[in-house]
Amino acid sequence: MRTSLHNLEIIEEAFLNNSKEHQVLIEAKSLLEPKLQEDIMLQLVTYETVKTYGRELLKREISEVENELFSQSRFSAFRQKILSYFKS
Amino acid sequence: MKTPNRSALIQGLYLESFPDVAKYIASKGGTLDEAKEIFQEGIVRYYEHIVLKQNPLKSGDKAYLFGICRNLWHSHFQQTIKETALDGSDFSEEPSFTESEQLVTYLKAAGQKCMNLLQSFYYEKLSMTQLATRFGYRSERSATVQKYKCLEKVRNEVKSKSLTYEDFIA
Repeated sequence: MRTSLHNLEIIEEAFLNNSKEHQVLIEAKSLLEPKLQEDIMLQLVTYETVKTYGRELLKREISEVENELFSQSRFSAFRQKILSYFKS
Repeated sequence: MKTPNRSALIQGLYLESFPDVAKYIASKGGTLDEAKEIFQEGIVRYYEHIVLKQNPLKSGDKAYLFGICRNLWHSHFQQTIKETALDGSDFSEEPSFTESEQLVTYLKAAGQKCMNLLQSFYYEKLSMTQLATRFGYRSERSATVQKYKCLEKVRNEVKSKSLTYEDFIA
């Protein structure tokens, strides 16, 4: 892997997988590469954003399943049971 | 992106647990829409507890999901009372988008394939073998390199938006 990808891997091991060995390596590299601190912050933001996107996809999938359960005829017994709880 | 195993899991959770949750919320004066909303959030928390924290999935673990939904209902109920007391209305404002959600919108436009690949690994916790199969890479090594290329691409997009970590933690 080229150097920039290798740095991504080191940051991931140090901050996501808590590898002590990689944390030491990051400290040493930071002295030689001042830009590394910014890369670390951006990478952590990227992980958080990917997690938000993953949750968004999960919610969409849950909605699709729910729509099927409340629209398809093969689930009518399930649907009637649920609706009966909300009849005043 | 619909994943067959996950959709089957979600459907199973609905069929097995939603009747109990809906009955409970109805008994407390809640509406069907509120029950659906609570249950959707409950599934997200249940899924993250099992997948993200890698706890073993117990089939028929109804009590756990019901407990999550009951707690969510109590929080929702308390919040509704608070909002009604504060502004005298019985409705809440639409939730505002977080910075992370806004950034997701930018990044999806920049490259959906990379975002899908990254979320499959970092959120769904697929193994490299599963990742290679899902995205058509010949080996785990190819998938690993591609994952880091995508991570670099998305990180550069984050940077190009001139957004810094402080923007997100402020």
